Amino acid sequence: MRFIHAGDINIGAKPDSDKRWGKERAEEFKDTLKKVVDKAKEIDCDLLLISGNLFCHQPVTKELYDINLLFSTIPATRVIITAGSSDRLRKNSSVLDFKWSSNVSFVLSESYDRINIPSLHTVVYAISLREGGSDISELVKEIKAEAKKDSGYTDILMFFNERHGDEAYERELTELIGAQSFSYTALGGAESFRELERGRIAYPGFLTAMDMHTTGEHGVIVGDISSATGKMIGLEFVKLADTCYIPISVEINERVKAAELRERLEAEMDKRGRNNIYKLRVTGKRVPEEEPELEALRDRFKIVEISDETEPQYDFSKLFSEHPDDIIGFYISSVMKNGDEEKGSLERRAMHYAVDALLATERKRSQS
Amino acid sequence: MKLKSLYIDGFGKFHNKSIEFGDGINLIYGKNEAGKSTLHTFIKAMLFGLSESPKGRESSEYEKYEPWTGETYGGSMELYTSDGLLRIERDFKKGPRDLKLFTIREGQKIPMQGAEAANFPEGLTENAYKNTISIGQLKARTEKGMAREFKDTVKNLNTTGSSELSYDRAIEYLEKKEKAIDESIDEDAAINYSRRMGRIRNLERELSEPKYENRIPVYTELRDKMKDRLSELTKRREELVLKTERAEDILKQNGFTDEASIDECEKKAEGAFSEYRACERALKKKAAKAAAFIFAVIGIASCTLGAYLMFLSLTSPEGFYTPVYAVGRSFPAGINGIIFCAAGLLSLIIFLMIFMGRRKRRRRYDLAASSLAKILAAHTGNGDINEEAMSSLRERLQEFRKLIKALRESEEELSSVKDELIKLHENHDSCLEIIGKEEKVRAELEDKLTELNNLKCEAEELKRTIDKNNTLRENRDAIELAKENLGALSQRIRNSVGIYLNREAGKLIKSITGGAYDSMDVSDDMDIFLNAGGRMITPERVSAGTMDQIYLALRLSAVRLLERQGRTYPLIFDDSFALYDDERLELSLKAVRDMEKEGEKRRQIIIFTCHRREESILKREEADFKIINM
Repeated sequence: MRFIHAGDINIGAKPDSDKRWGKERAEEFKDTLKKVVDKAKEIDCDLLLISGNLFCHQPVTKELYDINLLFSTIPATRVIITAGSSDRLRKNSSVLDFKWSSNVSFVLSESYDRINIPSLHTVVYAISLREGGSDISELVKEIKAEAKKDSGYTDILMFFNERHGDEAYERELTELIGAQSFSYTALGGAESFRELERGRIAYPGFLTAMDMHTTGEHGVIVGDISSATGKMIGLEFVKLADTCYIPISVEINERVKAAELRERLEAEMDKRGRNNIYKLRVTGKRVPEEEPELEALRDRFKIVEISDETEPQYDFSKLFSEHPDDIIGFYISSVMKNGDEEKGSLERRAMHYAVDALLATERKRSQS
Repeated sequence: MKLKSLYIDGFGKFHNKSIEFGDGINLIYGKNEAGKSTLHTFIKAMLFGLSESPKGRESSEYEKYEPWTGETYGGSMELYTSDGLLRIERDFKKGPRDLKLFTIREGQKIPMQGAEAANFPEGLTENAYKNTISIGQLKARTEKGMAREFKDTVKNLNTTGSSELSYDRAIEYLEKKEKAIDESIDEDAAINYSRRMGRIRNLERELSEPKYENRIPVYTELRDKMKDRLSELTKRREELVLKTERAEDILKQNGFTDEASIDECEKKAEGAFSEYRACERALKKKAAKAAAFIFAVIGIASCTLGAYLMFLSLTSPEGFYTPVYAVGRSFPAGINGIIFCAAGLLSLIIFLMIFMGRRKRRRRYDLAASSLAKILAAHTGNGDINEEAMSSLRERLQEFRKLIKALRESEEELSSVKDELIKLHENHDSCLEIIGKEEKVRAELEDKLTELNNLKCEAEELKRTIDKNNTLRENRDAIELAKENLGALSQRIRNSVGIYLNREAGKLIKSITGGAYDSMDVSDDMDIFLNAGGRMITPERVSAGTMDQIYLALRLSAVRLLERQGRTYPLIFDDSFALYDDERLELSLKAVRDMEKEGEKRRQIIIFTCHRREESILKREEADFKIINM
């Protein structure tokens, strides 16, 4: 039995909405889901599991309609959807009375749903998160007790783990799920693909990168479970999303010129692909006149954030000895005397600005 | 401080070149490209080392002056200082700042160390050297430009303590930066954010109202149930209608309308039947026939006897009382005749009565039989009157009764079905209405949800803007602080350096201009006036030649600022007079000579030039100077 496990599809998300590629990004969430459907067709997928956060907010009928239309194109694939933290079930949810295509099930139970698929010899136990919270551990215990009766069936457990990343809790959960009860546990919530137990308990990660917190590649888990033994035969992560968020950090020194730095960054971004979104951080000391001026890169690359943490390479003690009798020397000595030279302090930054302003507007008589 | 001599091992175009300086004015003459700037740079490099950082697009000083030939890069220079004769040796191959310092006592080189070396070269900084000691060409070529440059220099010295550092321009620079920051700060972000958050909270509260609970599934289920019941009832109603119609038809065909009609029919049949039976029984009774016969016989006999007796009595004399003997006794014939006649008549009457009664009964019998036969014929198809037929009739009528009862029941059910249908229709309609309303509520809810989702996106974006704003504001605060500190420092400089400078400049101006101008006045607003014998003149109105002198005086007074600790520094004029006309050159050289002689000690003056004019003027003036040809 072949299955695709996707999570955190986040339809409706609009990251970088203030950027020029904002619209494109918003579309990408739907586009990547289409890719999941295409993948399902391509591999003759029997089961598509969506373990929470199909939507990044409480969905409205129109959104449900669109998604249903998409899933209706894969009648041979059974689609099971649970609600996650962002699209959790509420008393006013439109999904409560939505009529899905015959191959689609949205888990609406207050506790859990047992979905029996005799043709696949499979039972899926699925939990949807509800407003007010659900006690996952208790439900898993209940499900385990019930799953014991399904001898000869492939059992799959799926739910959204709100406490993903809490290592102690994840260990506890892994123990609770146990080694015998389920062929596979499809979790949702984590930003990137991660297996709590190799080939048995996994998060597919966000289907599409959301922001700088979701770096790395994004896609789905494709698994194959033997119908005869109920054991996992193969499980792999398949990259589907086009866009990655990539942070690039560069430390420069006074020998690096601004143009050179820009060229280096351009080359790096070109190498990694222009479709990706970058966060640039430049640190280190620079020649005062060589301001990085990276803003221009924004026109050609998708850059979500530029942090220029370079400090002009002012050697204040040298400057002081060069300007003992003028305002620069006086300024530096007053800051040093007060002990305000701590890096990053307001006083030090003010000194940078003051010295920078004085030197930038200095008359260059001696050069003539 | 005075330069004694220098030796160039290798520096730019020079190789193994030595120069000895004179005590007072040194005129270093060289044509263009002779290497004047290289020599000047060498002097500076000996004092301060070479700069390694590139100047804009040009290569660094260090790269620029690498020797064209030879292995060595560097040289030495000897100078007189307050500590005696000093020797500087630099090997730039070792680095741009390589330095060896020696004092020379009795021809011996003694390396300098520690505090002595640290003070080198006599508290003079590279900056002060570049901006004060070394006097280049005036940049300004026009009178207005010169006035402006002069004013700027005065201003700068007054506000920053350096002729090259401008307080105003630095503040302007900072303000420009501040403005750029202000422009990129979205001032409305915070208020927009809190507005959106307020709206988000309100929307979330509204959306959690029970009004928005999704009841559609409940009502849909109810509606579906009602729909099923409706179709069930409709079917039943049709069945019932058919059934009642059929029953009514049957009843109608049989002449019945209701139970009463059956009762009536039965009553009639039963009545007729019992009449029929009664009559039949009565007619069949032999005693009655016999009695009639007897009464007829007795009547006739009695009447006959009576008539006879009457006849006897009438015919006998005794008349009425004629005795007649019978049964051993005598009876009066008349009376007895009457009695017999009467009795006979009575008997005949009785006979007649019996006879008539039977006739009547027969008629009744016939009537009953015919009506019963009719009924039976109608219901059983056969008019035979008998108990069997009657019992069939009864059974049949009983069935009719049942039919009527069923009809009544059906009718009742039909009416209740109809009632229920009406109610159900109403309920169904109201259910649909509720679903419709719920759908409207949902549309409202979804509008609100969409708004909420959009607001959340916007709020997130605004949050980012606020974070960015905070960083920008911190930068602005730093700039603000820089401005504040610069302002305070500048004020301090004005109160100390400024006052001294303006006084010194005034003195020098007076001496250089030969008393034409006797002081310089700088107002609080940094307006500069020159005092020409009580007239306050702005620099713009001073002639160019005089301006040069005044400016020179100012530059020299700045040198004096440096020399407050009792030191004297040499003055280096690097092609400073290249653009002067002869008259101006003469005036300037006069001022320079004044500077040379000023004070107790002689000041060393080094003039780099590519003209011979300086030489001829100095010669004409019979000045004491040394010419160094390159």
